[in-house]
Amino acid sequence: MSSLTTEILVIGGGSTGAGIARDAALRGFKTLLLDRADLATGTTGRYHGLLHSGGRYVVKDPISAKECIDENYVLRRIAADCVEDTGGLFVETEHDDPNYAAEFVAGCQRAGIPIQEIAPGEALRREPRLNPRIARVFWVPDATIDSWKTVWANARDVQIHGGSILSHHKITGLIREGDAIRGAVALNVRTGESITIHADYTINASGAWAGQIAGLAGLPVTVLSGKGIMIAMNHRLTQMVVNRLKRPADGDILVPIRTVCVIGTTDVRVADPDDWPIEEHEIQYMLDEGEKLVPGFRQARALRVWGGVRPLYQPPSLGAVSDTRDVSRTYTLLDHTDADGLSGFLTMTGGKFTTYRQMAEVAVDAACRHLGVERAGTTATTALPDSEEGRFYWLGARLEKREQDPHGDQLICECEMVTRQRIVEAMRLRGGDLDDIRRTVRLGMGPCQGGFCIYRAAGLGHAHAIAAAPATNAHLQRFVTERWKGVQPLLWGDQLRQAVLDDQIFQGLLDIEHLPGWDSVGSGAPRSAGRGDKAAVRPAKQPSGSRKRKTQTGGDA
Amino acid sequence: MSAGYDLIVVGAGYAGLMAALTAQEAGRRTLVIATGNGGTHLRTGCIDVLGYIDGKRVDDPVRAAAQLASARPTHPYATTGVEALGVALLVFKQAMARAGYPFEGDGHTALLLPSALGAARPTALVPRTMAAGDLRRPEPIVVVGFDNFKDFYPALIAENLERGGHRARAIMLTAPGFEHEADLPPLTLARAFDRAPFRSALAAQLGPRLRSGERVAFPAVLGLTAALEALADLEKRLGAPVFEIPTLPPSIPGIRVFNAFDRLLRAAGARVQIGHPVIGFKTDGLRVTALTSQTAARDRDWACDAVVLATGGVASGGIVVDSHRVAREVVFGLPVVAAVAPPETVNGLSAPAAYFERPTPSLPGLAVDAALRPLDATGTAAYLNLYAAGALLTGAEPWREKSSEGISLASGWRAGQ
Ligand SMILES: Cc1cc2nc3c(=O)[nH]c(=O)nc-3n(C[C@H](O)[C@H](O)[C@H](O)COP(=O)(O)OP(=O)(O)OC[C@H]3O[C@@H](n4cnc5c(N)ncnc54)[C@H](O)[C@@H]3O)c2cc1C
Ligand SMILES: Cc1cc2nc3c(=O)[nH]c(=O)nc-3n(C[C@H](O)[C@H](O)[C@H](O)COP(=O)(O)OP(=O)(O)OC[C@H]3O[C@@H](n4cnc5c(N)ncnc54)[C@H](O)[C@@H]3O)c2cc1C
Repeated sequence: MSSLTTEILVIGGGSTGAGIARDAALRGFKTLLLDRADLATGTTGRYHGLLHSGGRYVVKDPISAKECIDENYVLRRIAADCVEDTGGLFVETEHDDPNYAAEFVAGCQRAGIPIQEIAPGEALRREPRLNPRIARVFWVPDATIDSWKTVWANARDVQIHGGSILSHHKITGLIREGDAIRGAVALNVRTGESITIHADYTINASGAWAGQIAGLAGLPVTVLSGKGIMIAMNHRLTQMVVNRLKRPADGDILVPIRTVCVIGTTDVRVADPDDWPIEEHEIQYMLDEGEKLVPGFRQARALRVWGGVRPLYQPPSLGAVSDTRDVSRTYTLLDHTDADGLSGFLTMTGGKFTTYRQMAEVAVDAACRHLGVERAGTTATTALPDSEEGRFYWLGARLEKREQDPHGDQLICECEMVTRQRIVEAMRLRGGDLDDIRRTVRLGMGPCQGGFCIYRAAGLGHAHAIAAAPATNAHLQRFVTERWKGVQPLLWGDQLRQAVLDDQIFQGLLDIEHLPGWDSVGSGAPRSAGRGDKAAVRPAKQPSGSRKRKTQTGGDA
Repeated sequence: MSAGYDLIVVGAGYAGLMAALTAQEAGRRTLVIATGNGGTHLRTGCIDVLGYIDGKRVDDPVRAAAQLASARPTHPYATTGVEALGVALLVFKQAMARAGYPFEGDGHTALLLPSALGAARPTALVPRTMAAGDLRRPEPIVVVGFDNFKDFYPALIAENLERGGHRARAIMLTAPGFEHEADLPPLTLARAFDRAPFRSALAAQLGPRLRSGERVAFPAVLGLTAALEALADLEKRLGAPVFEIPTLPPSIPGIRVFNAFDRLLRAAGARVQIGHPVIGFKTDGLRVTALTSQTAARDRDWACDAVVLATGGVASGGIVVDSHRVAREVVFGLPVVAAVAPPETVNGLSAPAAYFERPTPSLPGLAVDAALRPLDATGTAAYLNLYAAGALLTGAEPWREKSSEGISLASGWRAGQ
């Protein structure tokens, strides 16, 4: 078994883990950030996209509200390139309790969230698609933030500061010496090899999986999973974030992010963070709630549905919780030295994307204390790579770049304006897995969901010697399978038509089911697959009783 | 109101065009009305009849279609009958030959053509511009692409062909005269191939790199209006057989088919109106007596004796499904069968039917009687003089089994009788 040595090992490459790793690396620790899949494919890559002002929590969860507004300001400074300064509205519709507004205003004042009441007529002038029957409207400093970009920027800074990233490595055990954790054992899920990682300090930042990781050290930590689903609609139906002015509930926020807007979400407790359903009634509920905010919502084109699981820490004192929405959204540091007498190990879980940096700072502060070193955190004032100039992202950025040289490069993905050069660069960095590339450059995330651009991207990867034909074929087949998961529940309207056109392209025109290396008999499953493409090596027919499909999150079958 | 038509065909894909041509050439006054272009512009430009049954590649498409029809009575071939398929293929071939865009193949031999990924794709009739691509021929293939055309990747095609047991290699060129345009649209490239100077510049670059005995594959953009001339000219200049491989829409070969139909229809005296949605209809008892279409200035009624509905199903907007999953046939509001059910509602995405394991068939469509008349809710013909054809018919898996054009031509020919 090969081995690695580091000072700080961070388990979990979501926003929390990436933030912790960057914080530690900036303080001069030799740092290793590890995830069982690609970075930001856990909850962080499946969230709603909102850089909270805190307004949502002012009545119910004021501590969380305060954390949000503080960090909202910080992230605008240090992660400007990932943030779009959309602003947000809280609107009282005819379905909402008119008494809530007073509580909301008082709560915002207590938390220090600047708000401004605007006349409904003015709100409608700025957001013409809004429900015209809104009675009261408040502006708040909500914004949207791209979680992939943020995590990648944090990871890049880790590398810049001498640390390293290990993706597709799953922690299978912790190394325990007496009353201390001295690192972990990880399994490379693509090669099947195990590796020992010796670390002075290990930080568990595995979100909803934090209980599982702590369990490897024999610690009984309960982290509940609160599932939420979201649907991306083809247009930005509003340009600002729109929240319902009421106690947090399901389907009450519409978030414009990049080229789409996302309606969400739900909160249902699930037993296994790796296995949960998206149900038809949830989809219908999102559409019904969408109608209340934007009449005609159901006629808009639904692009893709996905879901994520909130890590909700349940202190032993709390007893059984039935509604996960009642668990606080604030974060939890479990200092296993103080609480359990086990040194070299702590867990940071719960919280929000919005508060990731603060969570990271608190976690590394605790680690420093236990390691007996004094090094102050600097992440609150040190901009992330590409955010140094403090310029916010704006929707027209890609178009603006393109307009300067309209014939200079090929547009491989027309929907998301992704150029050939960008794709090839991303592939050189990250390999030819088209789903990884999708998350990196938004390839195939628009209306056609890859119908046109994925053939092109596969061809480019092959032409630039990033993957030979068998791997390219496997990447294509895997992409098509992955895409289908998020599209299949939304087969109506224009998206159904698009899905049929995409079938026509993949099956009818390209005959993707009969590429060499595929079994031409039976349902056309691949006989061999490219490097580590687990989704592509599934047997042709799964027994229908087998409901566990865990390949989505990157191969922890 | 204009003088009546004997037949109005709604839809201008393979099925509608075939129905219209059949009727007009039988001496019936025919009008084609369509919202836009149909399947021709989206697909390969080949005539698929049946490529696979239960995942097994077939050798004789028409015979296999007969087998399928008797094994699966709900399949459109069971309704159209396989005799109609045979006749329709013949009629289509003759028509295209007359229009100067000849097809090859007889329907009884599966032709294997390289797909734009390098898979061996079975089909039944191919335009002459693709005929030399048949993978049962022995000559090694040189796949030629252009780095300023993004819809075709010769190296990937060649490597997959090699792995499939065919000799192939790739050459990448820059389309001559377009060195400063990185992103050539297919229509621009096709129009370039129509011009002799472009072809000669291309041949000058390519010729010296060819080896004797090879055949040359291009993306399917070998000319829009002068494809046959372009093909012959290139073959002469290169001294090698040349063929096209169809790629992403818009389909140049499909556009040629559309244009050929359009020429024949107009020459025979039919009227073709593209860009005019049908928005209503009039009836007298169980007969449709007129259709209303939307034109620029006003809505207009067209009297008729019979109607063929060939609006193309979900793919072309002939059937729409709303967010409550209710499906609707858009012109006549006919009942739709096999509507897209939501995925197993309870298990939802935790067990998504994986793309390549999907059950059959999933597309909504119309049920019809033996005369191809759509059924109403009671199971009898909704109207005595309304017929349906093409992708509107339910019961096929057109892209997976590779049967789309065959179904359209057979049902279009029957409906046009
Ligand atoms: C539906 C929904 C909507 C939300 N919307 C918002 C929002 O709009 N704004 C906001 O601020 N917050 C939002 N949140 C909350 C926010 O997304 C999460 O709090 C945050 O992303 C959690 O990040 P994390 O890094 O702690 O967890 P994760 O991103 O889940 O990271 C944990 C990582 O650990 C890895 N891991 C697990 N097990 C192992 C193992 N054995 N070995 C190695 N690695 C392992 C996983 O692969 C994963 O990548 C939302 C949450 C949900 C569920
Ligand atoms: C802020 C934001 C904006 C987005 N904007 C767009 C957009 O514009 N266009 C677009 O196409 N997509 C968009 N997405 C969605 C994105 O493309 C992905 O669908 C999402 O990040 C989930 O990742 P995935 O599809 O790789 O998940 P996959 O793993 O491929 O999952 C696909 C679906 O399977 C289900 N699933 C996954 N894991 C499990 C499990 N363990 N158990 C049960 N079910 C599971 C989920 O419901 C998921 O939606 C956006 C996402 C975010 C966070």
